[in-house]
Amino acid sequence: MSADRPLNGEDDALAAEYVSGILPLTERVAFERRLESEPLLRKYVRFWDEKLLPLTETVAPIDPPKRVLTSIENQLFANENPKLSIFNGLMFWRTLSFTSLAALAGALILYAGTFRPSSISSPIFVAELSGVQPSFKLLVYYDREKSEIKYNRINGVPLMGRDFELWLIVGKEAPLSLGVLSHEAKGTLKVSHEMAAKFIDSTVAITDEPSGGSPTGHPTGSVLATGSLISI
Amino acid sequence: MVTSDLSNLIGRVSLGDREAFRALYGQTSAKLFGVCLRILKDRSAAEDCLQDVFVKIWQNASKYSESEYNPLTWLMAIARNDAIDKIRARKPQAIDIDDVLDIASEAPSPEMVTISSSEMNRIEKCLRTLKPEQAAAVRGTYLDGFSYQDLADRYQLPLNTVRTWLRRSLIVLRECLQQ
Repeated sequence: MSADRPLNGEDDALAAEYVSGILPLTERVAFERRLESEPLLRKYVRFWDEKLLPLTETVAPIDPPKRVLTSIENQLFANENPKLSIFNGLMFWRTLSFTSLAALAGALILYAGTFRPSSISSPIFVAELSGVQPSFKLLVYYDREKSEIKYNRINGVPLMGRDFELWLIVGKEAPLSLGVLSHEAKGTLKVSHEMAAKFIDSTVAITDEPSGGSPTGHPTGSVLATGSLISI
Repeated sequence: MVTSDLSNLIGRVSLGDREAFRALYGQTSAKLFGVCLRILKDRSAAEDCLQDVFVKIWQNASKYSESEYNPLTWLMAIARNDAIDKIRARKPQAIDIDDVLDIASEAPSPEMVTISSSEMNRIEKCLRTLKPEQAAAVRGTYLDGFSYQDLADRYQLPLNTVRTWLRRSLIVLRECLQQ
């Protein structure tokens, strides 16, 4: 599949060393840091991951003891006090910081021309939610005069019997529900002035929830997309 | 275990589907556990590894589709990366490398349900273009988590030399794999 890769002997050899596993820990960590921002390097890594994978066919499968699955499920799901669930996970906050940056760039471009109706005074808040679930993309726009959020779901449809719910995240506080999205691609959500006052420097996120939205008032399902609310 | 089924399961896991998560575990945990154990050579460490791997799978499932990986390659990369991280974080310890090399030269198992035999033949064919000890070093590195120190001890070479030597092997291997 990757016969067309550009030549870069040094990095390619480094990627081979990385995938083979031989790099010392410090070099491994440094390499992984580069991977985050270098698509070409990721391409090299994928080449080696795919080509060397068949070697694992020589490794016999071994059934793990039952306790392992129990521990995994305990770790992931036992703490189902919803406000302690996925939003408190380290991965979530990590992902958030990456996607927020990406959303910043995307949102400014998208909205500078298209979405700014002349009748509305500043501040106008927008966000592009994407990243956690790659195929999912939602644009959010706050109309202050009408006290409502308009949204446009470009990609992503709720599963049968599930709904998407939009959340506002301010600092490290528990997420606040902004409402459940309709199954239509476009729609609006009413927002109180108190809620709107928190928009500066905040983040919005979409989760997958039971029909009608989270029964607890806190997110219970997976985070599908996040983005920063940006004042334009 | 069909590729599209695994892809499907990972997609459902990304939406928080626990049943799909269990099914994915049922289908892949033995293979991933085997690989963790092979690298870590310690049952309890391998159990920790498997647990961390499936936690990562749950947390990162949504990144799978943008990665363009085949599902098994993606799962295996998570497992191997976790095991390698753990073994690299250990203090250097003596491994009886001769024992390990014996295991590493096992023939492929006949039950190749997930990886096409042509892919398998390709890597095996390409490894044969290397000198036997180079091929053994590549296998031992990938499957057993050898460090450069392990290889230096094994082949009685200075660390820098062994690194150049392995890199050269990998570059030769790449030329063949790209054809």
